[in-house]
Amino acid sequence: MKVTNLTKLQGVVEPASLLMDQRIDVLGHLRDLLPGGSLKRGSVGVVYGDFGSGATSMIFSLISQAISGGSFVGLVGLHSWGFGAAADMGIDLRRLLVVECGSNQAIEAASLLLDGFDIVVLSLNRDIDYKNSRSLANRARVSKSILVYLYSGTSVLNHLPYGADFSIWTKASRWELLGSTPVSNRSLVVQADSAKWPNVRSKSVVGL
Amino acid sequence: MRRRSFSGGELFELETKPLARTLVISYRGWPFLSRSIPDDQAAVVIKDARVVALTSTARKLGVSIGDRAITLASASFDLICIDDDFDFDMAAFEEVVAVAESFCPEVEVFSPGVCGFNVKGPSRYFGGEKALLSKVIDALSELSVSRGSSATSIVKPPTTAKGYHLVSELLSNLSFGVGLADGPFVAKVASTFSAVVEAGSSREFIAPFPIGILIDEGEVDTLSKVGVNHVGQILDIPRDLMVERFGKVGSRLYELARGVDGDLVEAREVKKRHHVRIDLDPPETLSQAISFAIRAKVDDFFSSLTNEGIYPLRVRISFETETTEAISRVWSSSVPISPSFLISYVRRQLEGWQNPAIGQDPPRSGVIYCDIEVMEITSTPFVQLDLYQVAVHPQDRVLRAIERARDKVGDGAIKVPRKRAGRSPRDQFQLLNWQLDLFEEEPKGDSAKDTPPWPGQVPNVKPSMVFDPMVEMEMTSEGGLVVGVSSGGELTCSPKFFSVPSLGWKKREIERILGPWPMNELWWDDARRRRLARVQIVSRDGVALNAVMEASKWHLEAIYD
Repeated sequence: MKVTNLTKLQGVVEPASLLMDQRIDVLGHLRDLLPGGSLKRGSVGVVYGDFGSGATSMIFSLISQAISGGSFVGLVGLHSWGFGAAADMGIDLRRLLVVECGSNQAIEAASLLLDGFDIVVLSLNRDIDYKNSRSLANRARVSKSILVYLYSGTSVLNHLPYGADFSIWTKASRWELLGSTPVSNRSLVVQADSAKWPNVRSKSVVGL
Repeated sequence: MRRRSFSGGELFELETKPLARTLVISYRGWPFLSRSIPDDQAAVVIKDARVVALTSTARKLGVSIGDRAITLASASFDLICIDDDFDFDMAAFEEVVAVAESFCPEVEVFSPGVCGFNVKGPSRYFGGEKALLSKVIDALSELSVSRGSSATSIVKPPTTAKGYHLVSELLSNLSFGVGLADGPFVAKVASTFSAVVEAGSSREFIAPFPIGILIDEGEVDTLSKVGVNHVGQILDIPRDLMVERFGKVGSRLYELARGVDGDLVEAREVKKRHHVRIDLDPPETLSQAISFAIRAKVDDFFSSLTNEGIYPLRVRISFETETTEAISRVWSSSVPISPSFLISYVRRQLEGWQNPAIGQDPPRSGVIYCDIEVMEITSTPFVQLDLYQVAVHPQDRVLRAIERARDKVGDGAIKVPRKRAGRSPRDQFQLLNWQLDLFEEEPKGDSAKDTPPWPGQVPNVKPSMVFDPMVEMEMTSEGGLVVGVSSGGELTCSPKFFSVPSLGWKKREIERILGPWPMNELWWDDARRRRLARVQIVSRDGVALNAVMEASKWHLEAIYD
């Protein structure tokens, strides 16, 4: 084909949506933990770990880049959020909406919020069943928003039975203890998994 | 700011392009005039719990713009406080707009109290700019609102300003000013002094003005820190540098400083014509019914604009009746126009048309269509939106999602975090119920920096999980003794294990414990005083948490999750 014809082709091959509209960027040190190195719009994921292992900090750092890019984030469920930590990670609290409600309502509220919010974090103290997991995944796909399920604890094993695009498990945290100064630094041992990867990835994240 | 980008060549072309001569009528202190409050009465207008306008008498009392409403009580006994009411101000301004419309069919309303029109046609028809100007002044002086008032508040342009002459007919006992200049921006500036700026002299005229006339305070600060105080100084800075340092604001400033403003520039940049025509069948006469009927279409139109990243700053609204009478008016705003503002414009315009001043006829039949055309746009809303601004800006998707979730979970469950002061992590943030006008008291800027230190607050890293109310926990020594805190603020025995039953934590080993930090809060208040001691614990398996001893019981306050 002659070069002159290529300009005509441009209109045909032009992408329907830009790559930046399909994905939401995350902080540099989290890119290894996500398929494609960023949060894909329309996907669902899970972040889990026992209390104190760093799961909440992981959520905050996942959403902080999105928030500074102008996204709104909804936090749904009965999680005891520490907003001081969120603000310290550079999250503009005025872009956070918190919905405090029990498990049954939380799933519905999360699926409604997916319509308008770029990221919805759903936090339950129990398992999500197959039906709800599927409807949340569908809702996320249709609304091109991202659902992240946060589970604190170790008793639940199959977090999103319908399937998750990514999963991050904060396995352990180790604090750097210096004499009698209060805690300040720690490293997390994180295990990430995605259906697209042949095996799970382990990584140590410092400074969360 | 506005959507435009051009190379140097285009800029040159833009400078040489003449702007339409524009006449601007501006009333000083419109909110007071419209309510017949004389200037010698101390009065202020309150918006979002802050003063946004005031009379000169109020200024003498020491009140200034931006003061908190709460602090006003001490200023004076007879200070009148008015709530900012856009609709009322607009409705009252209708009579002025009607006068202006008798000179030019298309009048642009900038804000309540300020309107203007292109004089190209009218000046020819009425025999020159000078004749037109005196006719406009005469007509406006007939209005009762124009008479009396502020002889004291007349200001003069900076002495070094050139290329203008003051309108001599305008006596000091009139409450309005008229400005005639190239383009609406310079005309607006000129109108505060009642000046006529000669064609092509915009730059010389505005160069000696302080930069405050171009932008608002925040940026004035930044600019004066780098030594720019006058509009003219901006012209000495190369445009590239302005854009590099201040982005779109910089490029906009640069243009304004040159007196370049208005839709000539826009016309080229707005590539597509954004407009919507809403047919009314059957024809409708009541303004309320019309605004109700077009509401849904307007919403759709605005969300389609938002999807394209377009925020309108200036719209033209036109109506036509069955008997082909038509009215069209341009509305502009310095912040992006939202659907609800547009509807309020529509209502104003219709009401003014249907209830005209004496001597003019109302339309004889019902309106058959309404046409809304976007004339000027901005690609980014000037500030980044937060959840409180989505109410004003067209982010209906977000609002709708919140509303629907609220229907589901009930009113009290939707909350937003807000910073406040305190020692414990529980006190430092609170959750407020979501409502649209929530943050009226929110101070500008980073409040975290302004908060003075709280002695005794938990130092360093903030915990990412905060339990409010706190969760009961137990702490024991190696021998199984319950750990307490003595009246001297010491631990009674050395702690070795802790457990939190409600989290499912059984007997974890403590690696290190810091503290206790005793605290005696509100000791001056017998009813609410509390004594507590706080410790920070790190367990052997890497969990860090804050625990509080109160009333001889340990509570888990926060986890560094």
